[in-house]
Amino acid sequence: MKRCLVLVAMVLMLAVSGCVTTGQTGPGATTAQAVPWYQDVQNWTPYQKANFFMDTWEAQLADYKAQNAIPNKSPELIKILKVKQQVLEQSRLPVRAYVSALQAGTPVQNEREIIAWLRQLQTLMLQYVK
Amino acid sequence: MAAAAIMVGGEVLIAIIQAYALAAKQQNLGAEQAKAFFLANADRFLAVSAQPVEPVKES
Repeated sequence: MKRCLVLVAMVLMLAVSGCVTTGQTGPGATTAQAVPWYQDVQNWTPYQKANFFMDTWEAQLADYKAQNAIPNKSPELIKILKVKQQVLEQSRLPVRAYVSALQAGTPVQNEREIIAWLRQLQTLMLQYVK
Repeated sequence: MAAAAIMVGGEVLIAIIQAYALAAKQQNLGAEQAKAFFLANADRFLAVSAQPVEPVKES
């Protein structure tokens, strides 16, 4: 129980602070600065954003598939996986649209929506850590 | 209940660390490298994400 509380506290601290140390977010940036990734990403080039969106979505999909393959899942895990499946599916088309637009050289418009989905994917399970 | 909380807490922790690792990876790429990485991976991503996400297996 004690280990559980320590782990939950660590997760909540990370989630609340949401900080990453960066020093190379733009031309001439030399000083290290701690900013949440979802704010920092707005300073990136469209290609960096697209790469991040693809990497993150695929990593979450891989986690989902690995957990979905577990036999005899607990009811709690099934509940979590249903939410994760829904968010992955809802974010799939916006990320694909962003990538396709960038590939075609047309303006990309839905990055705020994608960032919101990715943040939701990242934190949706906090509600179950109680 | 405690075991479920540890499992879920671990999952969240991994997801958070994963996001920062991926973000750091992009920050370390220059603009040209990022473009090259995108051009090399976009088609593969579009193929991987072409199908709906598989439903939860409840058995």
